[in-house]
Amino acid sequence: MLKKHRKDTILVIEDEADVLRFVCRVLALEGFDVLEAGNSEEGLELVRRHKCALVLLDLRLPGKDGWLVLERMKSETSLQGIPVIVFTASAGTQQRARALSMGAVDYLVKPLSAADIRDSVTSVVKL
Amino acid sequence: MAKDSHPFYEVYEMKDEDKGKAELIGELVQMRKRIVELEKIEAESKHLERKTTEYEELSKLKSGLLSTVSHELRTPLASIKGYSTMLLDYDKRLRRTEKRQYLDAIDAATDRLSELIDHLLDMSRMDAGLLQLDMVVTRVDRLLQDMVAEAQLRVPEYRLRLDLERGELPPLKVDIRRFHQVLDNLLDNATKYSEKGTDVVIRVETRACEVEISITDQGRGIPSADIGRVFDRMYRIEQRLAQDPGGMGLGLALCKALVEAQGGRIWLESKEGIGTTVRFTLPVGTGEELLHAEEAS
Repeated sequence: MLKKHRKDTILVIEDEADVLRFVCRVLALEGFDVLEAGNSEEGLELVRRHKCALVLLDLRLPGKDGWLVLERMKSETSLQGIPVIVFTASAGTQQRARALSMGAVDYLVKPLSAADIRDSVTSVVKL
Repeated sequence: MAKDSHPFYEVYEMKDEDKGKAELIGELVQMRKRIVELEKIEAESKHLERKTTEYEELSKLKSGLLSTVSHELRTPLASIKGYSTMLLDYDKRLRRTEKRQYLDAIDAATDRLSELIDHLLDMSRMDAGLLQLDMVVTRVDRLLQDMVAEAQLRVPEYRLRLDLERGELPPLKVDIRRFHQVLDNLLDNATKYSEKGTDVVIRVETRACEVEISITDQGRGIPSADIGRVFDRMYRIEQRLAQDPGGMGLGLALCKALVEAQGGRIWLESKEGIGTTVRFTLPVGTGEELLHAEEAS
């Protein structure tokens, strides 16, 4: 567990308030700057406006779902380089393959522990 | 017996012309038989087609159901796992008040999980015809007041108002636990889809041989296209809308099954942006039945 302030900004897009609070708090405790969005539109707006080092994205979002965010991020030149870790409550292998083929760097299945978040994030955003 | 004196039929010599006709009639009869057979085969094949479609729909429903159930069960689990590992990993860095909040969230998620499991079990019990009701004839005035007071404690942000008729209600023939479950479920829905600070009115009216209980909220209402399907199992409108409060879509289906099992009916009226009123009826018990029940207890 690292207390050093990394100054990297991570955006978390998740509609479940409890999960959003938990993920954001773990990231903050790990020293990241955290932005949070409860739906895809808000998420896309934030990622376009801020310089994010990483996006954590829930695939099942109300309205336009997380798949659309992933697709947009990988098709917009200014966003293409930002790594995306997706998480979802569906453990389906097809979904995992689809997400990875669309450019996600990791696919996490809920329920997630604090360590799952920490390990996945620190493997992508290096010190 | 002479040819012309037979009492039932006449026998006469067939002419060639008649023979031709008879053959034609024979062929027609055969053809008709074949048509009937073909029609039977066609009907059978249509029946099979229908069965296949039904099976396909059922199979689609089943996989949809599995995915919904898996998602709904994992959601509270996600809170429990997340908060508990956070409490374990960062114990020394979290303030006491923050820890308390996480413990409360774990507690609420556990309740949600156990409620989901109860709903699923009730549904499958009902499907298997194993749901047992414990019907009693009882007075519900006090019971209703207690139920509403208890629900009010769960949702202090809303104003629950019980509107009972003057005088005593007639005794009802109900399964008290299931009646409680239906009312709780409907009250949960009424608050779940309404803004905090709004009113929820529970009105009880006596009809000829039944009592009608209605729950009226000032919530977002149900789109008219969806009203006919809200009592269907796993039917959820919110999945495609923003700010989905979550759920499996079992609540109303379960209420319907439970109300009907107790001999009542359930329906609703709703206007988008104005609110929803869910009404259900329960049969009235006779004074004699009440007397018996009181003597027995």
